[in-house]
Amino acid sequence: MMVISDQSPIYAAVNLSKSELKTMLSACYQCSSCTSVCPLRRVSKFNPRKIIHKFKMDTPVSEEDLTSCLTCSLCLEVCPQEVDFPEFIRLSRKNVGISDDNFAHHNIFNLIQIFMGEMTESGMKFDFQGKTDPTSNIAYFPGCIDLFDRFLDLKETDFHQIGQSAINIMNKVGISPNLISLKCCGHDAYWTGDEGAYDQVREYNTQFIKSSGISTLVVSCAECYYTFEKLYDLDVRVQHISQFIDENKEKLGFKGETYDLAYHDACRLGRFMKEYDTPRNVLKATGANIKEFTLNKQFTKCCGVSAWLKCDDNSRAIMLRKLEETAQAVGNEGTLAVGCTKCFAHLNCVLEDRKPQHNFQIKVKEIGMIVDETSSSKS
Amino acid sequence: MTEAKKIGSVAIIGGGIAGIQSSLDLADQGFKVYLLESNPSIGGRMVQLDKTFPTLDCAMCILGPKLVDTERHPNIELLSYCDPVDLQGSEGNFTLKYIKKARYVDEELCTGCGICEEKCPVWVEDDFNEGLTTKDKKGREKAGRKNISIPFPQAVPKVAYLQPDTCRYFQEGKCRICEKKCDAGAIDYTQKDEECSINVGAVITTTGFDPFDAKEIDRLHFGDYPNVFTTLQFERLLNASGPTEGEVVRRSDGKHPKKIAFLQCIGSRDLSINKEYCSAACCMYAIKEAIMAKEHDPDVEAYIFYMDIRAFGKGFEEFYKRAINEFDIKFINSRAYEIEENPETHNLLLKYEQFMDSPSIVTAEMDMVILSTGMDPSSQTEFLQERLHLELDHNGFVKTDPIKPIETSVPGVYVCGVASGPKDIPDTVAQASGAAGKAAILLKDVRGSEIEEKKYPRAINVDPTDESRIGVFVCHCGHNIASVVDVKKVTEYAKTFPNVKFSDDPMYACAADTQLLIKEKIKEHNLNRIIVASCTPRTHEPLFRSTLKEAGLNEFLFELTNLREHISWVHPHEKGQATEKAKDMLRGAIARTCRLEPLLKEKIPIEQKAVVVGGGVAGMTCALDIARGGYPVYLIEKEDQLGGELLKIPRLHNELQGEMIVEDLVKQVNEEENITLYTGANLESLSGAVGNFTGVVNSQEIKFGAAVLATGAEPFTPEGYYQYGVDSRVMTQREFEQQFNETDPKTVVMIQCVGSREDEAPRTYCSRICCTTAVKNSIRIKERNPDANVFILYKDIRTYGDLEELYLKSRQLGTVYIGYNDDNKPIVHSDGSVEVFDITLGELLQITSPDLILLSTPLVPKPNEELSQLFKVPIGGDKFFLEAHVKLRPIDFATDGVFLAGTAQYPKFTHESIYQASGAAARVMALLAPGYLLSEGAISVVKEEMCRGCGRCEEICPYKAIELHEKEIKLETKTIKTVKAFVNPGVCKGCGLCVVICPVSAIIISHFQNETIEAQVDAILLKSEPTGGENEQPSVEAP
Repeated sequence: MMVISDQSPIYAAVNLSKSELKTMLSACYQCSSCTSVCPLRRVSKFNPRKIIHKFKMDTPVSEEDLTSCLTCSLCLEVCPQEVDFPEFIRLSRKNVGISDDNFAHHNIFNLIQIFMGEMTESGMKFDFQGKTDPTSNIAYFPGCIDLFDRFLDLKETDFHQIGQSAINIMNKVGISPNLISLKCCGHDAYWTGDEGAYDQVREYNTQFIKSSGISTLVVSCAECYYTFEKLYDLDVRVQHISQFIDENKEKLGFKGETYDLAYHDACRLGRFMKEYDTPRNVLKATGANIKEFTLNKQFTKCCGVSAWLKCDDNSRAIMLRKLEETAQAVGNEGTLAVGCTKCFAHLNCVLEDRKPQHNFQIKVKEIGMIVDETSSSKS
Repeated sequence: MTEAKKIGSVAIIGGGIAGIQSSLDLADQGFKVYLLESNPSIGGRMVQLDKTFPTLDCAMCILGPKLVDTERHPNIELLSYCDPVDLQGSEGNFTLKYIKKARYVDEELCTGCGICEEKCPVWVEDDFNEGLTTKDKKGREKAGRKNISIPFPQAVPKVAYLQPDTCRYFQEGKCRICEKKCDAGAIDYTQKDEECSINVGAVITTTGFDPFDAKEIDRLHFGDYPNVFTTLQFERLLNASGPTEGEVVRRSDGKHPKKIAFLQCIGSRDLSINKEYCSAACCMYAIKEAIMAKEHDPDVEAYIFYMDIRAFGKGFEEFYKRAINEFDIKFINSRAYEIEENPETHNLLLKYEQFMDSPSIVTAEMDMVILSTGMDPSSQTEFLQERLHLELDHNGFVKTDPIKPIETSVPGVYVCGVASGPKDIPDTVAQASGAAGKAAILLKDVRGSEIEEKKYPRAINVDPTDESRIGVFVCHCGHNIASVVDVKKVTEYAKTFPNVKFSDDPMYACAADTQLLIKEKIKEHNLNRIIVASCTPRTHEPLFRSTLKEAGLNEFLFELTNLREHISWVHPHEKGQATEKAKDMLRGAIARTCRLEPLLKEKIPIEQKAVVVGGGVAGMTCALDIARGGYPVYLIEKEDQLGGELLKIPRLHNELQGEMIVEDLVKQVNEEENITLYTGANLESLSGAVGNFTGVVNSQEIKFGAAVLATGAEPFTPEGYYQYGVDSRVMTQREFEQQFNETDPKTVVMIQCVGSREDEAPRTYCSRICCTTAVKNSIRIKERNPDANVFILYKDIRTYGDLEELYLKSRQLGTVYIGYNDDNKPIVHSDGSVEVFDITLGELLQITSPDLILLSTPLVPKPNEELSQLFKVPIGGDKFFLEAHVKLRPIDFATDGVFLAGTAQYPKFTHESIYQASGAAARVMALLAPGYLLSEGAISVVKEEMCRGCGRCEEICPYKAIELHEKEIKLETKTIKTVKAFVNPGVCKGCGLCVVICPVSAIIISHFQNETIEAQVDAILLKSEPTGGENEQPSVEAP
């Protein structure tokens, strides 16, 4: 029995008071929309509705729940009372902190982020073919792709190609970008509640961008795009690679051969930035006949992992569900396009597991990669 | 500047049920009414409904008569298909400009025969049927509507209209089929929109609502998945006159759905689409539709996905329970968010979280999904704001003050119905009467100035023994009758009867030129009786009767034979036999008509005064309104002080103070010369009936024509519930409110539905206001001390309409709502701790040591038995007074001249009591205004010498029109004391029940006497020949 008394455990608040957090949840009337759509609820007992109700009655969010939430924001999308559950989770993480053993891959990406924050310079060194120009006012930042190549140990997945494709595309439309060496954008630190680490990279990057004199910053990753555009206060134009391509697609000389393609709306690109149409327009321009998921755009289910927290059986089940959805749309050997390096990483990771886990022969590709492959223009 | 002259007419903007009720109430009082309706027919949303909750009355059957009354009322001018465009002037004298939209059909000439509609080659979307089309067995689209059409069969006015945008002639310059086919010559392609203006003293806005457009919410796939419907569409599917003739079928394959899901709160209670309010009626109509689906097909499984079932009105909770227990409707407390379609079967997959019984995410496969769409402010509301300068509230409805719930921000402009916020039909009707009352009070000095009472010539004396000289008019009704019945043959047949002195076959019997013809022929042939063989008396008898009166014939010397509904529409494929049947019917009518007698509608003078029993907020408001309308009122209050229950409520949910409202009203009552106040007094005895009551108050005799019962209600004392009376921490919400300032609780538990929504009568009902009271008190506690913990244990939170915003505020302040159900009621332990099984968590909770446990108890009626007996008015199973009809007569009793208001009818909020009281006042004024009652004419007559005074007629009479009187009878040799039945002609409606029940045949009903009916039946069956009066020779048999 749950006992509510004067002696109830008081939430271990660091920065926010218990009542401030409660206020975030107060409008909830327990309709259960959040829980009925939650991708994690489909594979586990994770229950946003109950977490909210219990928190109102002074029961803190368990560490299990706190680290499981994907912050994919589908719950906020469907909430008739606009309860921002992901933000509640983020602030709660910030309040209590998350212990290292909750992070996947030996916590490596989290640690790199922290180290990067401490370092005096970015330390990111990129090596791409093609034309770049440090004086160009259009910059390209590839993000963490080389780190993923180094530490994720995937045999058939080439993260580097994401950046190479972007540079190829920019060259094809006649631009030699300023290949800018920023620190990690800090998205994961922000969403795991480590605002100290986030602030460190943000301050460095903001300063760096300001002093570089660029006017446009192009990125390939949905998280970079969301973080630079929404969380940072920059006075440059931030473009997701799909937006850049959309503006220049006439110059790319697509062959126009049609092919079937599935497209997954990454949460940071879709629900967070409301960018649903541009990636589709770009893919259609390449000749893609997009076979939509039944639940697409704002209703898209998450790829399965967020901020390198907890990659477990639940995550795997969600990822496999995504591959199953893809197979239903475009067949078992079809292609799924994504606009986010993270989705690209997680889904390719589960694809490489192979037997006996599954038999999917699906290819997961990043938008820039597809565009580069289908464009006939020369760099 | 001198004050502009007041004008005795009122414009009503909106012809739905609210506008219709306001119109009738005002017109009955002698005001000229202009009823503006933007659509081609009046009737509003209610005409689209199949049935109404909670009585499952057929909507059209109860509204239809009101539509006809509105059309036929001499003081109402229907301005259909008109849009208001501007309002100038001020209270008492406005100029309203409006656009009379071109129908391309002459309203005067069109007879509504429907031939244009039949012949028009263009199909368009049918908005009356909510755009529904269905496929027939061959896969062809069924239904839809023709481009020129009558909006629906019972439309008023029954006039066609044409839409030029989709008309072949207007778009392509050729066609003109409707013009060629219209025998009445009513088609007029040259019509233009016309700007007109009227002068009126007051304006009532009743613009209603637009259903929320479900297309605004992507995830519902409305308009995309074929088997997703709205509730209004489902009404049309259920309806026998709908596009499927009442067959519930799927749009994808025409199959009958076996599993139907209703999704609640579509477009309501949803901040993400800016609809914070609850639409107040959707829970009930979903339950109704689920029940109807079951009645259509017992194999249907119906599921209602809800968050709170808001069954807060009279009879609603009981209806909800019936749905569960009797109809096995499944109620699922969860918002099913995801809808996916199986592309092959077009079945719909709903995913929802099941709270109880193995909690999980469930996928339910449904054959059909119905969206319970909410009410948006009408698109016309914007006009009201811009042109009438009415202030709107933040939701876009017309803004009103809680203590002036009918008045808008512009003096002389009133509002009622959904225009001022979501409400159901009874509340709308009560408020509509109230709006009529307010306008009547404003214009009382100019009442009757804008209307002309129709003068008729003195009636020709027709003696029953005079030779019957009958005129017969057999109507073609365009092709409606003539295409099936050989009208010429029937007309010739009529001529074979010796009493028939004239017969003819007009194209349209109801057309204006035919009325002239009838009058002419009455003179020419010295006719003393008329038969029209055409359509239904319900719509057309009053017209012909008035034609007879104009010709100087008594209106009862008329008979209508229905060749359309009874013959041509039901036997379209049996033409020969149809003509024979028409002859049979006509033969019967002739036999009957020969025996008709002239009858007088008696004017019975009445006492133009009223009594109001009960001096609470409802009673005082009602008395003030009647008094200000110009009629003396006796206000009788049992206590020594006016004010009633409101005095005991320090603060209402809207921040008003009960005492202040009462103080203000008492001051007004004391200043009102027309009110005679009796406090500490009871109505001691009563005799008489409508129009002429005599009562005794304080041993003083008072005479009055009408009465309003506003005796109120009081909170239930929860003896024996939850340690009440045992533990001092346990008290009612009311007790807490009264000591609010002396308390400072740290932890408060409130328990809802204590003594209400029970399984056993009398308190099976939901008390409507207790949820809001708890919400209000939680807000007051949290606002005073944000650290206080407030837990509300509830079954459903029923904060309907904009009260939902208070519920949100309470949650935002941190009140915790814990759902419980009847299987696991909360327990208050002797140590004061509260145990509750939280249904949303599926866990047992214990709240230790609360400082206060507040019980939300229902309002229960005051003991009303004595008044019930005095006024012969019924009390319902819930012990509240029982109104005449819960839907359309919420403030009338079945007994004429007695009305009800306030919580004596059912628990309600102060603002609702106020508008209902104004409504009751309007009903009283409408009754008193003429100064007399007009008897029905065709009423019961007691043959006194045969009556043995058994009293069975008195018992059975539904209108309380019969009383037993003692009477001394002088016989040849002695005088005996007897008891005789006496019929009050002002009350009798001529229903005939007494005639049937009388064991000694002492009662007859004039106009429908046994021998008249027998002669008619015999003639139809050819048992005897149709003949004239008794002194006449039998006529020859017809060939």
